[in-house]
Amino acid sequence: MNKAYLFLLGCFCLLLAGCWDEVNIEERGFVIGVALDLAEEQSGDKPIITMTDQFVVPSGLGTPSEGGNNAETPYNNLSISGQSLFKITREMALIQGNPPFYEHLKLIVVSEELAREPEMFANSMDLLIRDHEMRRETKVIISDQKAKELLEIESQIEPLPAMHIDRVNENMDKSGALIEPLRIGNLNEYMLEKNNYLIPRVVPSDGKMMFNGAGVFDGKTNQLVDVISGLEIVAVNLITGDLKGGYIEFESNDGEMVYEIKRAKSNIEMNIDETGKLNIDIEIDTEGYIAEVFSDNSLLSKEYFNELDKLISERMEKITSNIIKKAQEDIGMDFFGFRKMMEERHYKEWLKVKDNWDEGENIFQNASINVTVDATVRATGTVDQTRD
Amino acid sequence: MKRFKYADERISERDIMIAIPSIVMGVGILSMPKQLASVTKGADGWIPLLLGGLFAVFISWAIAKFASGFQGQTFLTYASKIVTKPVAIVLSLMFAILSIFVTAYQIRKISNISQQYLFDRTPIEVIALPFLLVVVYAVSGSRAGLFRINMMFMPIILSIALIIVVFSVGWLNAGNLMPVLQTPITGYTQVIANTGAISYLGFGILWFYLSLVDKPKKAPKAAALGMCIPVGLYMMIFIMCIGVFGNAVTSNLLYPTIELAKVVEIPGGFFERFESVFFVIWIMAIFITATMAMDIGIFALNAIFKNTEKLKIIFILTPIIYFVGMFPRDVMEVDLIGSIMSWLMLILNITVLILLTVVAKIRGVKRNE
Repeated sequence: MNKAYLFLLGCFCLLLAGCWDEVNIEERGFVIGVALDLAEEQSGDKPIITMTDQFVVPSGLGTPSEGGNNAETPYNNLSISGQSLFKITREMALIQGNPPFYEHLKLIVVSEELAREPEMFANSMDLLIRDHEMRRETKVIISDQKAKELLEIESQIEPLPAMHIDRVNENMDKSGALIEPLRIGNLNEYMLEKNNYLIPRVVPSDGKMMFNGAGVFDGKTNQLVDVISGLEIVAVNLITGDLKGGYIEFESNDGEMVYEIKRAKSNIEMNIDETGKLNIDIEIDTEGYIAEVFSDNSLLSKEYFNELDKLISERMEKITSNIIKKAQEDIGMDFFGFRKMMEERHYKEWLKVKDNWDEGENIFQNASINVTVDATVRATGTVDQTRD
Repeated sequence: MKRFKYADERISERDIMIAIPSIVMGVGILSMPKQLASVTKGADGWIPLLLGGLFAVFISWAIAKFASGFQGQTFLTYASKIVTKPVAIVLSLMFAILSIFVTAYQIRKISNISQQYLFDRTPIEVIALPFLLVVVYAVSGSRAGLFRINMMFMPIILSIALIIVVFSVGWLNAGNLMPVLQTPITGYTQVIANTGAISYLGFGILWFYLSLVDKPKKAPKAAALGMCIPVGLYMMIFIMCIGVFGNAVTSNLLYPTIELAKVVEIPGGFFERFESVFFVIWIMAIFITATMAMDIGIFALNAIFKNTEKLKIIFILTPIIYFVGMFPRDVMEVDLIGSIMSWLMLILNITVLILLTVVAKIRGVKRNE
């Protein structure tokens, strides 16, 4: 019996030989940002992509007690070109000892140049959605310039460029000119449902970066079609009811004023009449404060508030109608998500029109869309007048 | 070699109540939302899930009701009384074979999944072997001990599932749940057949384990109650998956439930990678499923081969299970075997239920109330 135990014990020792998947934490190359560009040198028929991975260099970050005043930069960008992203990620293991590890990936930046190429955007997103290391919460943005330049912009407060951009992306409640950050999981949803979508757009300039507008993507070809501005995004957010906070500048009889939107709600009704025409009625309700006044009048009177309400509503109606006109006439695409709303609320009708939404019969372009805005001014900040 | 013996091998009806969700919740839930979402619109999949669930609750109640009529008798004993011994042996053997397949399937499936998500380079065979060995260790002990493991694991498993549901509420997009009730009737029938009922398989254990229950009077109610736990949990997880990912994405994710766990983030960057915890705990759930399935196989065989020692049966079964589990070549084959097996299991359970009830009526076999 004892011999048998010894034999078994010996056998089990074989199991101690090692672990296949052992990776020490200091041997992992944590990637927090990925930038995708078209390579500068193209050869052959298939386009070549440059992928830039931003690796964290923990020693450059320092600990709070050290104050992080190390000379070392806390990140290391590595760019490789090739056709397949997977191949590129594996080639990175040929260059540096810590192969890339994507579980903590925060941000994907795609250059507009690449996004304008047909099918390229969808192709390059495939690995980033498919691979099991990738998370569906990774945010996607597009860049006006080379995407890899964006991953070199340092900020004093946030030493890692990818984290810096990621944090700015969250400031939706301060500025209405930001759209809800696009997560790659949602992108996957748009791609599968063939709905058009917007991706936040960043413009680098002089070693700084700024969110500026959004790119309009065609849900069928997954290709960048046009770009809309920050003010237009405020209008889009008002229409979809996604506005978390923001402001509207408007002209009153006494000069320029700024209205800060604290809360916005939209109610969208849509129906298709007998002739097959789509009617959309959008009611927008907002409330907020007068944030800045360039005049010396007293604001606090019921009539004046009503007048301001009217002025603000008109201003909002103007900007929302403009963006709708732009979508219907210039861009010719529905990026408000009306098609998705149609599917959710009027499924039977949607089945009939889904293939003719912004192609074929162009239901969306020929739709009549009415916007009514009801803006309310609640208060004027802490004072009535700042001068007399 | 001295083995510790528990005082008795009896269990209470509360053990039965826990045993049902223990065996039902296994690998199925990880991919269930995908299969449902791909044939239904919006979040309509909850309807077949509920109908299938109610059906499963009813079947569990009926099996428990029938089996509790024969207090203290094993399946083989009372089945022999009703449909003669040879038929009873054939039925027992079929249960045993299917249970072995269930064990093998569970082990293979969790090995595949954990290789994909956790162990990149470890071969499947190596992942499966230790898992199987632990299962073997669990079944070679006391049967009452198994129920204690269930009792201990079930609260942990349920709470992790609830945590995932609660923490993903923040990502929920109500629009994804629409359109409501737009699935054509054919879609529903397809789903009820394909996934609705099959997700709840496991009530077969009642044929065997009820013989261990001391006072089986309350057992039917306990079994039905136990079955309600997975029904509720499955519906919650399904609706969360659709609400978070939308129907189109859910039907394209291979394991939506795991992806749901990946979405969960405790706010403030405090805790990411929640799926690692989920994995650990869900492996416990699969462990008890595999253990109970294997134990049923042993139980059934032990009743047929009365003079053979339990350990001997286990040691013969173990390599068979391993080879059956390693047999399929790819993911598609594993799933094919899984669905064939589930179908046979469902058919077998219902046939046995109808056969025994009807024949017992006709031949007037007395139940010892």
